[in-house]
Amino acid sequence: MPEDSGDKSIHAAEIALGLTAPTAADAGLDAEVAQWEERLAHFAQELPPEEPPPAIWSAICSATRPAMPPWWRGALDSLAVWRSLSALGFAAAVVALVLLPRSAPITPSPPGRTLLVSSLRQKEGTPLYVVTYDPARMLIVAVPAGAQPARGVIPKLWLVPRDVETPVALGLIDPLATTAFRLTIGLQKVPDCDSGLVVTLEPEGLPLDTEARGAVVAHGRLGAF
Amino acid sequence: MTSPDLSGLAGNALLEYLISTADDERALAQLYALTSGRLNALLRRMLRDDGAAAEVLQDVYVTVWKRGTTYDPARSTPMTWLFTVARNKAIDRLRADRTDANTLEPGVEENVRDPGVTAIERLEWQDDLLRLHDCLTTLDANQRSAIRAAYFDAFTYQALATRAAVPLSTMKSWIRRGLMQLRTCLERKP
Repeated sequence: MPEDSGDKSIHAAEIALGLTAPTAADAGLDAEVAQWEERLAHFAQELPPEEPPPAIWSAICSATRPAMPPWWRGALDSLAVWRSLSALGFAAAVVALVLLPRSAPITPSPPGRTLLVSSLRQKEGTPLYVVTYDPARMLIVAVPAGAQPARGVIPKLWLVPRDVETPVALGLIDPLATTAFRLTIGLQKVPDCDSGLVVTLEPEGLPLDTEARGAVVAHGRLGAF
Repeated sequence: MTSPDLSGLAGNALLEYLISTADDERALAQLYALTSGRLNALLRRMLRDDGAAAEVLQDVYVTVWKRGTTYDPARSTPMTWLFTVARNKAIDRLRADRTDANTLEPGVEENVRDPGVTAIERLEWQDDLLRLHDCLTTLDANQRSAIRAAYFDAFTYQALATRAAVPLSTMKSWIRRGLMQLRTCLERKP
């Protein structure tokens, strides 16, 4: 380590620049290195910010959120939990619903667009729907992948954001055709890679803006495509 | 250009998010929203490869999530700490990819961008950023170019010397004198 204070400072600058690897003898230079890091950081600050592609955040939150919280797992598999959620009040979901789903025309996503995708499966693993979410267009598209229509009931898609207690009703989906929803501005919680998606079978004839009454038949979790 | 104020309220918010990433799921998201544009710009500038920049950026935030609690506010500002984490990872990546930096051809020095400062940028930039820019302009062109290349391109002394087609001792002299001048200038200006 250099003896002279000027030399020490320059040595610290060289460490901060990466021109010299610090050794054990440089431990006392930490404050000086930090000061140089602060000065040199202005080089980075002069660069105009560049928004990264959405897929990066998806990958980060996939890497940092490997497990679903217990209530989430329970909600996915337990009709009782869903009913208790209903009993606790689906008001928030209804409010969101008013703001939320609009049937949307489906146009192909531009090349390179990042999508979140989920295969919605039954408890035993059979796929029923594939759902994609295009964050840039706030467009959710549900495509049947094994679902069959059933008399007297109609599938309904729900969004289950990770940190939101109440599932959000997206709307009824067609078991035989593609259904698209455009999420509208005003939605407080948009889907991300933490979000779950659930399909219930709702009795036909009930108003759309209501609580979940049917059984959970398929679920999945959005992930980067 | 836009240059968000990273001091004051924004800086305090960064600090709060940074120290909360391990406990608060939303803190990492907020931190990412506030800082990813700047780190992405730095990594794209350093790595010159969008794919590599994306991989390193992802690695940076996963590291921050794991190590956010090790951040020491007494040592550096949140943004400087993030820049340092990102830059160190980029340096590791660049040096791993360069099988032999000495193979750079002499005399093919890259035209290092010296962006200049427009009147609008003068209004938008923070004082310390302007001060750095003004101090850099007082350096000899060789010194300035070498320090910027060391920062953004992570070249070793030897690689910088090869790139500028000068002896190693000359390059060391340029950079060390430049750094000394820079420090003196930065400390002198208010």
